[in-house]
Amino acid sequence: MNARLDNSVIRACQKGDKAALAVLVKGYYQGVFALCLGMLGNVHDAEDATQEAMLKGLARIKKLRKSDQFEPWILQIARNLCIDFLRRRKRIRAPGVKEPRLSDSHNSDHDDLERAIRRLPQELRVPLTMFYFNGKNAKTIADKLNISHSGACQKIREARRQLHELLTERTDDEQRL
Amino acid sequence: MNSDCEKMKDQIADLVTGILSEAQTQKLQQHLAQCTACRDYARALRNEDIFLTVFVETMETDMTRHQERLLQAIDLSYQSRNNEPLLIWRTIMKSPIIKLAAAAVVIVVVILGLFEFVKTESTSGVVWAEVVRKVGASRGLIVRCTDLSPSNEDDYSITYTSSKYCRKDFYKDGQIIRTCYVDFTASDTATLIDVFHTHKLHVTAKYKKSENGLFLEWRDDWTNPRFLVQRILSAEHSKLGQKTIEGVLCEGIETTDPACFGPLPEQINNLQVEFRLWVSAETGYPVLYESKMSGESEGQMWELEYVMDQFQWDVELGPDIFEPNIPPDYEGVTRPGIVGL
Repeated sequence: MNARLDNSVIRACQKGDKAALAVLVKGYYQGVFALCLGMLGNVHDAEDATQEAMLKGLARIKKLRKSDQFEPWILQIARNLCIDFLRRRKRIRAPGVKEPRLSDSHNSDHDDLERAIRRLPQELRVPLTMFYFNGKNAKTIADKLNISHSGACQKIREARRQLHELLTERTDDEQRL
Repeated sequence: MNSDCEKMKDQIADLVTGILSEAQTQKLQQHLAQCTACRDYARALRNEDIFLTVFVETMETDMTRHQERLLQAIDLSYQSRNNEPLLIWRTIMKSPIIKLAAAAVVIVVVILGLFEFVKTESTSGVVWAEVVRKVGASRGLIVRCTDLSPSNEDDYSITYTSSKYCRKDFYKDGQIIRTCYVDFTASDTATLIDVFHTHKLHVTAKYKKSENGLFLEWRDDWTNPRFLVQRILSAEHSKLGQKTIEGVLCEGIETTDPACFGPLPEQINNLQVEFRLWVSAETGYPVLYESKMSGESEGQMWELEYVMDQFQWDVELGPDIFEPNIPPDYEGVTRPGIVGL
């Protein structure tokens, strides 16, 4: 999105323009969802966290001083919510309870992939999901995560390598059975 | 796979992910041409890349549903707030698409004001009762509105209104960046299509009359500046005498009385208004309207300043101009349900 034009939409939202809110939701929902999915590791939790983050952000949008800072601001809100969510989940989940799947997909390829993504460490899962939800643009991910371009590439590379190992390990296990 | 191949794994991952430099890609391709193990590894990563892409695309198809759910939740949260009157008022006054509608809020006051006014004898060249009659009888109207508020982004807007439809084009650097179409033909709702050309997106929403009686006159008059005259005359006002505006001899009136808005939400403090209207002495139609407002709500100061000029009164506006013109490559969003103002 064009930052200058985004500013006009954000300012319209700050004035209470509901049509502009829809534009903002359309423009930023996916980015927030990608971050939440990366942090939480399953689609349902990520949906809830995204909804909550967007609602919280839009309710407070008048307090946003710099309209060009909307994206880092809403991502920070989402990040904080995810951290809270993970803390709560840790407390609630009893030992031995099966981890939920990423989504309700019944496609076995998807299931394998989802499980593997979920087993990645969070610091790799976040850049990986954001990378694939943002048109595979490492520079965008670097900006969003406030890290260097080479740092983003390194994380994506490591995520892909570990993901391959997790997927291969599963296949090997199945073959042994 | 030898030790060299282990070192190549990073590059293969980068190649498949599309982040490997061109020089490194060439070097790697040479290696892949000779090494079966690395080729297999690259093939496996490519397959996984496809799975990941499909996985994301699958979720993206659900995104619209999620967004609609979120917009519904936003509407609900708006409706459940106690300060709804404030939101209504803000929407009226601050939304670029509804700024012109403010006059409709004061319909009761307007009527009272009109009665008061009609009894008043005019001593100037402009017969104000005739101004009210003429603007009220105007079929179609075209007007330019320049928002001078500090936070405004567009340069100006051009509004076209008839008794049943309204269209507003927002201009920036000579280009239309946004167009709003409003259809008032339904009895209790108005349909608004907001086209954001800069984002290739259009948003459709239905608005209802608010329960506390605001927008009673929506269907016919909500964006019609004819009420500007009545608004000023309904409050304490003074005459400004004559002056020439772009070669036209005009007479003006002014008010600084916030009562011209009628009852206001309690949350608005220190409301100050300054409205000036200039009417052609020859035609009896308004030619310039200057408006300044400021106030405080939720501890925050705000101010609005706008100018309406280039009026074209009583013009015939064909239906084509109000027909939403949305290019086929624009994405559409429909706000579910009916949005309360």
